Amino acid sequence: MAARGANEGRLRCLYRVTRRELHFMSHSPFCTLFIVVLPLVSFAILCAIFYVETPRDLPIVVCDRDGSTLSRQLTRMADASASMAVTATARDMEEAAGYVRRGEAYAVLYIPPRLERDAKRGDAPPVVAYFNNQWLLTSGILNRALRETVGTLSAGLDLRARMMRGEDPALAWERYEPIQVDAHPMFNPNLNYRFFLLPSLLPTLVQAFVIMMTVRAVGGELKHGTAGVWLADSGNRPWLALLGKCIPYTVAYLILTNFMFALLVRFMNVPLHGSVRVLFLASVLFVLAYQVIGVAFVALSANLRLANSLAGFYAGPAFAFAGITYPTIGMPLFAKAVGWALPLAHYLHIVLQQALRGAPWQASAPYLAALAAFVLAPPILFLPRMGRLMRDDRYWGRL
Amino acid sequence: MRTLARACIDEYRAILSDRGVLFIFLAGLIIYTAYYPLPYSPEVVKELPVVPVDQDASTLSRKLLQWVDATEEVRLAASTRNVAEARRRVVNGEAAGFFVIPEGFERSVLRGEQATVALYADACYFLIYRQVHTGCYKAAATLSAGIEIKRFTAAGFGERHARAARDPLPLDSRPLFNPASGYATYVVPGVLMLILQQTLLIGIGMLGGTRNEAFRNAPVPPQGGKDSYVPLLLGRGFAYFSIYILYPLFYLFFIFPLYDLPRAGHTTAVMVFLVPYVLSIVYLGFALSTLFQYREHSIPALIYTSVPAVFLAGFAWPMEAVPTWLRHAALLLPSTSGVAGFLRLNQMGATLHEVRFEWFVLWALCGFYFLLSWVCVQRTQPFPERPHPDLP
Repeated sequence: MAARGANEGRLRCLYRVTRRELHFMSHSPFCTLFIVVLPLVSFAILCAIFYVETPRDLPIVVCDRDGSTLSRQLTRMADASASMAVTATARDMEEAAGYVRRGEAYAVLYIPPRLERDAKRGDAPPVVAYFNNQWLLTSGILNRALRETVGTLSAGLDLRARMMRGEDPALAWERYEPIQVDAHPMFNPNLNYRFFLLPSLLPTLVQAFVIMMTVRAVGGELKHGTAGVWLADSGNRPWLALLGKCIPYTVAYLILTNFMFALLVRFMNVPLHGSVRVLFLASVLFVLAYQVIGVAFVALSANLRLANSLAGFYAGPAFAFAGITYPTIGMPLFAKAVGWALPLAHYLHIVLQQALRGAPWQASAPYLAALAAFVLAPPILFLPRMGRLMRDDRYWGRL
Repeated sequence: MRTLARACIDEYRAILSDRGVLFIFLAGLIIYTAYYPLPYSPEVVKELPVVPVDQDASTLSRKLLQWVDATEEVRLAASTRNVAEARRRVVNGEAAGFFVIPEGFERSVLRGEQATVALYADACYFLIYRQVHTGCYKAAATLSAGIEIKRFTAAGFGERHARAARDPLPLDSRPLFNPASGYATYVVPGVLMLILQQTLLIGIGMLGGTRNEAFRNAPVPPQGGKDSYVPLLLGRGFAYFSIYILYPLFYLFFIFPLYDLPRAGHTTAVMVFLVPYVLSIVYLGFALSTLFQYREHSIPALIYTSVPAVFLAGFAWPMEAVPTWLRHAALLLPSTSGVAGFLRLNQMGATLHEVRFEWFVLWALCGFYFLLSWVCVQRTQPFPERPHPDLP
């Protein structure tokens, strides 16, 4: 058995190993689940979650202690703003805080007593916005929206007061706020969360699929004691056995990443300003890198169970270290180092560079090089040991 | 009762003799929980580099830039007078944004006209945009207010009236909870509850998968009667429950202080709330574990569900933005109600009465998953008298 194929050509052996794997894949419901069903379901769920580009009509509660025309105008204006909706009014702050603690409102707009009277006298009573800052994302959106609403109302009052003092309306308008900041969000002008989160979350799912399937495919041969047959099929060449085994998954997951970009660009309207070629190259390296790391975990542990746990530990929290939601520049050194050791982080930078920024390929080159290093360096270290594991039946059948 | 006690003891033994499960349970207790919050531990991003493009080169423009540099959010990078060069640096990721002060800036201000400065900031990464925007806006607003108050004082207003005339309806923003806008405070408490859920589900799934393998390979089917499933499930469930109910205590008294996370809740209320949370996860785990043909199926299945689960838990992304059908479906995950209730109790000081809806949902899930696991375990493991014949 072991001698079979030893004298055959490499291509023939490669073909045989790949065919064996394809046969296995087509008979395993687990493979169908992890290559087709779960990726599609999870993509669909994430697309549904982020289908709205920015959250709208976030509930707030108004505590109106004034009850004047002006305070009602302010309430109406707040309700009319796209980002928020006034869903309740409270008599006092204790009642208002209850809405926040029950999770029924994200902010309280407190309008102090005698607001209208004092505003007319120019006595500047503060309107207070209490944000539930535990929800950092919504509080940022509401802060901006409330600032705009109150600012518009205030500017109107200011303008009226100036005109009453006899200033020329055009001039009065100009004098309000002598230095104006004109803010331009680059690469994502509408501050669209979908454009920013979906292209980084979908690859996070893909990396987990790739590494887990690789560990299962390679480690499974050890666990079920079939590594001998596998090695024999390859003509006793460990590198060829691994290559032949991984190819079907490489192809399957490349199709998946391409499908992912089609989904993002065609249906989720994510811009693609940069180079499709760079993205494709990055995707190839990305899939290969996770396959290589998956094999490395099996070689390291010689045990499917442990390799699985290691891969889970490696891929599970990866998004936190990738520097997307919380930028790398603000991380402590150790967390930065962990990020560099994850192909996902490099890949996501390339994706954002090419999709949103339209960066030249030179800007992505360092990240591409890092991905290439993940593909090329580990095999030199683990191939000899992997060969030993495949030959020595003492490593087989371990749980 | 005897079946119950024996099932519980057998389950403890099975957990303790399985190194894979022990590793996952330990990871859920300390490895993940201490490792995951690491990137966020500085809480806020400071001193992001912004390229100044000062085309005015006046006293006032330099003053404005000094103000910008003085904020904690941003610092000034090497300056340039060329907008294209500044843009290139942002595209290449060398700077977070650039700040253009156009020619004639000082002259406009001195004439009493409105002067506009332009801020271009990288919105690829939202937190970076937010910080740069806050920093530059704050600096310009401070300088602007100073100028305007000077104008009003010159026109004969007192300082207090000058302030009032400038902004007749000021807005005072006050944060409730998380006053420092800390990122770790925002993310970590919710994630801890998810780590609890996912590691418990993985552990149960591993043992369940092992059992399924053993039952398929068992040479002689052991004998058993149908009536003993309820005590069996209760006993096994108690084993996991008794271990995992201690986890939140460890999080509250070890992980929270470790990362300086604020808390506002009473420990007793939090623990009362978490009883149905842990229980519903245990029975969800039993039901799920019957799906895993092999023990190695549980980790991949549950690693990948953690990403959607995070964004359906309502803390990272508001539930108001999630489609209604998905919001209802998400209630089937214990984490959806569990995280929402835990955050409100523990971070915002809500009372148990104020989270009663979530608490009832969790009890309902307990009941539902208990029944489901009762049905599933009967179908896949019809021999409860010997729960795991092939295990040591």
